[in-house]
Amino acid sequence: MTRAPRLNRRRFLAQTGTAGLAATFMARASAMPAASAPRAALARLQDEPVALSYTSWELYPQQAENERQTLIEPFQEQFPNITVENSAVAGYDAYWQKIQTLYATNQAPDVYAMSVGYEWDFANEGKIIDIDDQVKAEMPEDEYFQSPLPMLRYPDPNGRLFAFPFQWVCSVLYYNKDLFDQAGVPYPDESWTYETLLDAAKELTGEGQFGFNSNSAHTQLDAAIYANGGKVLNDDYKTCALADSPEAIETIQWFVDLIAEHKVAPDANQSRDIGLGTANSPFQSGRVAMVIDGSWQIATTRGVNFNWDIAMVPSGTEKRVIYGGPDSLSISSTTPHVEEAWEFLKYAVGPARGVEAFGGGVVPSYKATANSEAWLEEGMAPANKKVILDSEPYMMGAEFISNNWTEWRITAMNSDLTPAFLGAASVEDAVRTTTDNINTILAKP
Amino acid sequence: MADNRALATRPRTAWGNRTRRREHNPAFGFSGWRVALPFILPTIVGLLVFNVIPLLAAFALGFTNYSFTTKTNWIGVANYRAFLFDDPLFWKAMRNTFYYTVASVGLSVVIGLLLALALYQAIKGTRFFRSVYFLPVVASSAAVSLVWGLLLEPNFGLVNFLLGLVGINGPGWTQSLQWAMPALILVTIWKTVGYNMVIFLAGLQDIPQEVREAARVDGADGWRETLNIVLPLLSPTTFFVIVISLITSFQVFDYIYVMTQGNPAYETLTLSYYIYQIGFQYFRMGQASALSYILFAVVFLLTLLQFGLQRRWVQYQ
Repeated sequence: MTRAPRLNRRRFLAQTGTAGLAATFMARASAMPAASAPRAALARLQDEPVALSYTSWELYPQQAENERQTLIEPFQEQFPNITVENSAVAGYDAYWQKIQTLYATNQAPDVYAMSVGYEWDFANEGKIIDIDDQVKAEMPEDEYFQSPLPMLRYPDPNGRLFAFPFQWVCSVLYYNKDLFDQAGVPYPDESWTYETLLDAAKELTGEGQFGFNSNSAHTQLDAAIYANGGKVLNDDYKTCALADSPEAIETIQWFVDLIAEHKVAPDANQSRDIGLGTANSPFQSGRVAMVIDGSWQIATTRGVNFNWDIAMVPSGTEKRVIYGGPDSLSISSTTPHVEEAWEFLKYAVGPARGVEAFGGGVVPSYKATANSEAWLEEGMAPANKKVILDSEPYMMGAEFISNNWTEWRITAMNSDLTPAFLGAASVEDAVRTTTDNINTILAKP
Repeated sequence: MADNRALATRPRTAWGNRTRRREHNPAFGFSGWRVALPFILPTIVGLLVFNVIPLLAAFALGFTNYSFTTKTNWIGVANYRAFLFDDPLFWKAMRNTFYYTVASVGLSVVIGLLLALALYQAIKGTRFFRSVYFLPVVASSAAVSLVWGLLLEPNFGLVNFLLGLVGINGPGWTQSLQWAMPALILVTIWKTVGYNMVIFLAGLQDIPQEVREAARVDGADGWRETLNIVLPLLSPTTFFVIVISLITSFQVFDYIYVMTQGNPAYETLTLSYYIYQIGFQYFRMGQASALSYILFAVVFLLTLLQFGLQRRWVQYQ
């Protein structure tokens, strides 16, 4: 046999490979539309039928069916030419993977639920549209809570809004009334500082029970750092300030000392001994007298068999700062029906979203619904549910308007501070590592 | 028609045979392609769509900054450079993966071999035990990880409870910095040792009885016989088991995804899980593609190394 057949086969394979590559790229390029102004951006509402798609991660069971009745159908009655197709994805991570793949296949929903953890990145990548003008024009400031809004601005706190909240949550101080009664300690109130909390926790720590639970969760730690005058990120939101902020290091040391020195909070071994592994949160095991945790935990905490209530998060050495954040809705930049999508977004964050959608610790963005008697759920624990509303003026996020928030705050900062909380490294060393890693992540595109 | 002289001088390697074989290769004169093509086309299309094209596309994506947006740019080897020179987490994941691989492959090969030697006897009960040890292999690794996660739970898990009965204070397992990776290694060994045992059993059956009897006649006791006769003759099987175990072990993902998610403090972050985090939690697909090719290169080089070393210790009959 001559050489020719062998070369032909190789060349053939090489050409198919290149052709395959080229085809893949051309297909992808044509699938992504250029960012041209959607047809309806300047048009008024037409009479021709418009179909919108709306999706969210599952905030509560049966959400899709419930929203069809309470939200979609009334909206469709008000706007007869618009039909909305809704769905809810079970699982927060799965929801975001689905949204990303929908963008890759050019099927992104018109309106979808947006989280502070990803909003900055999505605005940065041009996936959601600027709704700042519409919000200023059509959402009166006295009808909607304003504290969550700075967390949704891009690219900085003075930037434009790319999402609007439909609900928000904040951290509260849960306390076990039975353990307080047994120890004879007065219940927490608004006058408490972190030092008062430490004193009370000492009284409440004893055989098989602890006064408090300490960790590096963003629902607890960041607010404390700011309340004590420290910083997590610098004002440009592009570099980490932890290692250069002595107040931040002192605050982290204070939380670590709760475990190591004062022993009012359980360490990893002790969590085991008192069986905290079974509970949804350590507080629900009944062996920890106080925790600072999100108000969304109220729903599951109602299942415990002891008396409990909530109080406001204590103030720090400088001021009071309470962690909180919104869940919002955004309009995709790929929608051909911007006007209609905006009408739906406005409807879905306003009074039409009834109080039943906000069970246990979640606050509607629309003030009138939040201030209604029904929302306070009288007769159900916690009796002091109004504390959540009172916390709103002190609400601050966790530097959400930064690059790659999920990566630097949830993965990196928690992982790098773990050795300090486990007693395997000093707080200074852990903070040094954390700062370097966070700077690396913030610098990534 | 080769005569004896041609047989004696024919090249022993596959390379030499290849040249000779092509002259009689039926594919070059095959006239039945028109009939054959429709039959193999579904497989070829499947291979192309699900294997070949994604492989090529991932390779190309590794040189871009694709993150599901339209703003995708060609950035050359920037991703690879970022991993190798700017990313301490990459090296941590590499160290963790090596630690996991060496421990789990080493132990599961040794234990699999011991089990095969123990169960390679024609006495009652060996068949039953062979099935029992093989059962974990056919179980789903996600289900296995879930159950073992509960067994190793530091508070109320069965393992620490049993350890407590004999007076040992069980460690924090997946919540402890030192014991998280050993916990994963334990689950892996439990799951894979049966597979290795079955392969070794097949290899043992290939050892001719005459050789073993000859050794016994020469005065070798059981131990000597195993060490000097059985193990060397088993080396091709051992080679296969080690290569396959290395390849799969380097790509471990499901145990970490279910049991630890890389925690605590990155101690159980392996390369595969890091790829998943970058691609599906931070949505930087370009970087994830580059990392997956780095993983491929590492596994490929290790396998090449194994094949190169085999001349030293693998004895083919």
